[in-house]
Amino acid sequence: MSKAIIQIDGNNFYASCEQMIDPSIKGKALVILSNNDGCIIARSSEARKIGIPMGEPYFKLEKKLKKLNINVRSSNYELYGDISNRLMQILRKNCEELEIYSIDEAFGMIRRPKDKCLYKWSTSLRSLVYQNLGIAISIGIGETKVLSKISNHIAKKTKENSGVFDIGLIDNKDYYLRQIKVEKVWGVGKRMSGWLKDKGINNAKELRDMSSNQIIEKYGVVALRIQDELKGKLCIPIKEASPTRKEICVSRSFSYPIDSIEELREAISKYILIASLKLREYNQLSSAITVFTTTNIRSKDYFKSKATGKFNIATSDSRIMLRKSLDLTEKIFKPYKKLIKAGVILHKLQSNEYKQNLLFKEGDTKEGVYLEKLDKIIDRINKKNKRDSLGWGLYTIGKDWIPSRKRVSFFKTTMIEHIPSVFAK
Amino acid sequence: MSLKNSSSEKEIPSARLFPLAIETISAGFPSPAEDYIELGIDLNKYLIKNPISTFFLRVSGNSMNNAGIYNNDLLIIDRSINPHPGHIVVALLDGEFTLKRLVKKENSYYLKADKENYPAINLYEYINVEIWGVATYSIHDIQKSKS
Repeated sequence: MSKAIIQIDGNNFYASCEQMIDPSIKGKALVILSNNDGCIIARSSEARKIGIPMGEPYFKLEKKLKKLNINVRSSNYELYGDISNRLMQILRKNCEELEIYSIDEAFGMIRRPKDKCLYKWSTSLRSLVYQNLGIAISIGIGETKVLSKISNHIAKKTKENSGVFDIGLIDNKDYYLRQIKVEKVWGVGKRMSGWLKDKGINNAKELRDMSSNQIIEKYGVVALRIQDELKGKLCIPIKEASPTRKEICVSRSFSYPIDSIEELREAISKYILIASLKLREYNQLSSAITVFTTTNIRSKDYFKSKATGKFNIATSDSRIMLRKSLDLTEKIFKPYKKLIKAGVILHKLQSNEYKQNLLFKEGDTKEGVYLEKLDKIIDRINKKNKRDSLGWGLYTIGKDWIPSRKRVSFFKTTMIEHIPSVFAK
Repeated sequence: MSLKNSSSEKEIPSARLFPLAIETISAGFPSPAEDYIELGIDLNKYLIKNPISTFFLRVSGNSMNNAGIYNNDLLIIDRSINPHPGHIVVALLDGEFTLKRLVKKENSYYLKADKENYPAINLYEYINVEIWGVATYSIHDIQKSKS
């Protein structure tokens, strides 16, 4: 009981980020669209109240949104990423352990004080985050991850909890667990919840109290851990993020299906350049690369393929990566297939620091040193101006491989050219 | 896409400034300055005390000239600072970021432009005002603004 798991997430995170940096939409109804402006993936609380549904395709609602005067934005991942990063830094400072679970969600561990009560700590963390970043968070507390998730859910649902709930301090725990539908329990998938409902298990309390043997028989020990966590036994520990990432994946859906190798080559090379830029930004090297592509999963002749190649020496050189990825592209291409998505993964990442120390060692060719410099110069120019100001000959500039973001807000907290104005009128 | 003038290319992120390890060059007497290598002046460190809560805004207008803040200046805002009378603050007013000085007079708080004849906004009357952050520095380009 002395240690508590906390689950923290941003309320309407994408919408909150937009509203924080753009006063003209603060307190107003706002929806955020997915890549390619496909679906509604986030809503401000004002849009939620009006009843705009989540996940709905944009084209279906376009007229209605206009009529209701609801603001629409494409996803501005540069902005969300920056605010997320700042949020996680605040959380890390305030928790003993922290696992970043997604862009707006984290699990943390904290020791309970003598009186066990973490409400004061939680409310001050909430106001700290609001003051520093201008976004609201919810905090759920429990003995386990599964319970802290449930707490967070309750914190959001009930106004009186003002964004904080601690199921560990509650006497009538069963009352709350009964409110949680079984499919809302963290880790319970669609199939499992169907099976549970057939058995008459409808809420979290019933799941906690059912026979474990039945669960093990059907879904094994992994599912048993969910039940144990509901009972308050910590089974799924906090996984602190490894300091360096192990792979980089860049993949996109095309704005229309393609079936020629030229187009696939263009797409893949574009993604490689994006991925290798990330690699250099993180100061890492990659020693293997995978390219993949797929048709629509629902199409009759569903097709997917991938190919992997290794580098002799770990590299971040976009020229070397381009060459390798183009060889691999020949392998994954098949004529007459309507491809709707492709991507690249850089694996086996390692830090570049070791290599950097040996930058001028013998055997390092002059060309290699120059190429590394060249990449850095290109990166810098592209950063200063616009992505794609300079690139490597193969791919045409500005085609449709980058998802369209027609309504993306101009504002970014990460680029001096995109900061908002403050008026001194 | 035209490139900007060459001087802008020289800009190097401060994190990349590092001293060369002179010691590994084995030639004669070691430099007497070697023990005194410094990292150079890092403006990020100097201007940004709390990177997590620091944001940038571009100033538009001249009503704060008397406070040394000019049109087109780059304004640094640290949201972690609690606003106090005398602070120059960014306030949310009518759907815009507005730059004012926070003033206390006879137990009332006001937002005031640093210019005569500008009406002060009484914070008790204007309920919809939110203070977004406290300005800490304004970076002014002396050459550009000469004209």
